Amino acid sequence: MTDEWTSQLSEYLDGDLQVDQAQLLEAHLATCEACTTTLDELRAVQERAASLEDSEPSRDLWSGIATRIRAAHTGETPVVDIESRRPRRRFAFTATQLLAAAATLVVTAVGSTMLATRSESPSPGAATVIPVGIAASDASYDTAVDELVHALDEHRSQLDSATIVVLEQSLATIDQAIAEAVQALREEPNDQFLNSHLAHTKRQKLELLAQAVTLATAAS
Amino acid sequence: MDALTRRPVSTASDAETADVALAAAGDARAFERLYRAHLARVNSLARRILGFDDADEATQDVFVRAWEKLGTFRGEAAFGTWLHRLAINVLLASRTSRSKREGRFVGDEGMEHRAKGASGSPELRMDFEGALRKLPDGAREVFVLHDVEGFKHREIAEMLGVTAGTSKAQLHRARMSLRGHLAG
Repeated sequence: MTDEWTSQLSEYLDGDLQVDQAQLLEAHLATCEACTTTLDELRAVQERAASLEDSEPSRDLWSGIATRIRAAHTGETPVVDIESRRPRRRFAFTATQLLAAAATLVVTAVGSTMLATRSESPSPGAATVIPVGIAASDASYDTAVDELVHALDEHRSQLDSATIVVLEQSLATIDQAIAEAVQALREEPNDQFLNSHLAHTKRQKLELLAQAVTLATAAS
Repeated sequence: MDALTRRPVSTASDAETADVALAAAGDARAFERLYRAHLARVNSLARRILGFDDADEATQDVFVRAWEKLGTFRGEAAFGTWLHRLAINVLLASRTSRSKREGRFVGDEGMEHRAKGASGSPELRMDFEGALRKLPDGAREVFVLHDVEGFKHREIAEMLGVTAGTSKAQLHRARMSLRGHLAG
């Protein structure tokens, strides 16, 4: 077996050799066991490649796709990295979060009613105002989130799958941002930007949950 | 397309044709059904061309691009065929911009050494797809496109911006390296 012959084996296998070249190679193969063995191995590789099975990824990829195509549809940038503003930290905000951060009051619909009145059954379509301070109080915040999540769970079946995917993706992003802000504040508890960001992000979560409850109850 | 004579994409059903029309009109749920139907094919292709680390993100890129380009799909070929070609374009375009996190064989000498070692020691033999991922980028891409996907050298040469002769040489290189990994 020499490189002169082995280098032609793949082309021979694929039928790409000229007729005269193929005849010369076949004459060599008749006398060379090593080249014949190599040819058989190359053929086996070729057959193995053609029989490879396709398989799905280990995790679902649709949520990320849904978020991106929804953002493309609405023209909203899904994630804004503010690394350049805080180079030592890594935070990500949606464009909606940044807009919400500028608000002084959060006006929402049915879910907000629950926050203000603590009524047990929300009335769809009723609008109210959430005081800014609600996000600053851990106890009030946790209670409000729990109530909204409970209300959302009751009506979740009214939301279509794409909306649920986007909602869960958005909540995961917000929760991640909250967790990162809390972690950062452990190091710099007096950082005004971080404190403001945490409060706004928490309020953003309330607003998102309230909007979801509104959608779900309106569809009931 | 020549590739389809060897590794055919599933034939489009009436339901799929309807979903394509709905998705092109903005129906995300219809597009999700198309995604479910073609996910394994696209993700496997991405895994083989780019490796595990980049495959999932690249798969998402493919479907987002497909969503964006659905308006250009004229139905002249099956949706699966159109999506498959789009996927190859996206994956090949992204391969140059993604960092390669896995170790690669440096040259033929190293490839031969690894192949022989694997062949002689069953316990050390890596699976076929694992060995495929260890090939140099050029050899792996040509091998996947030719032996797995069924493209011709002239098509591969056009896709990769190389000559048909280079494509043939890379294919032979890949096959020679993979001989010792047939059991997996």
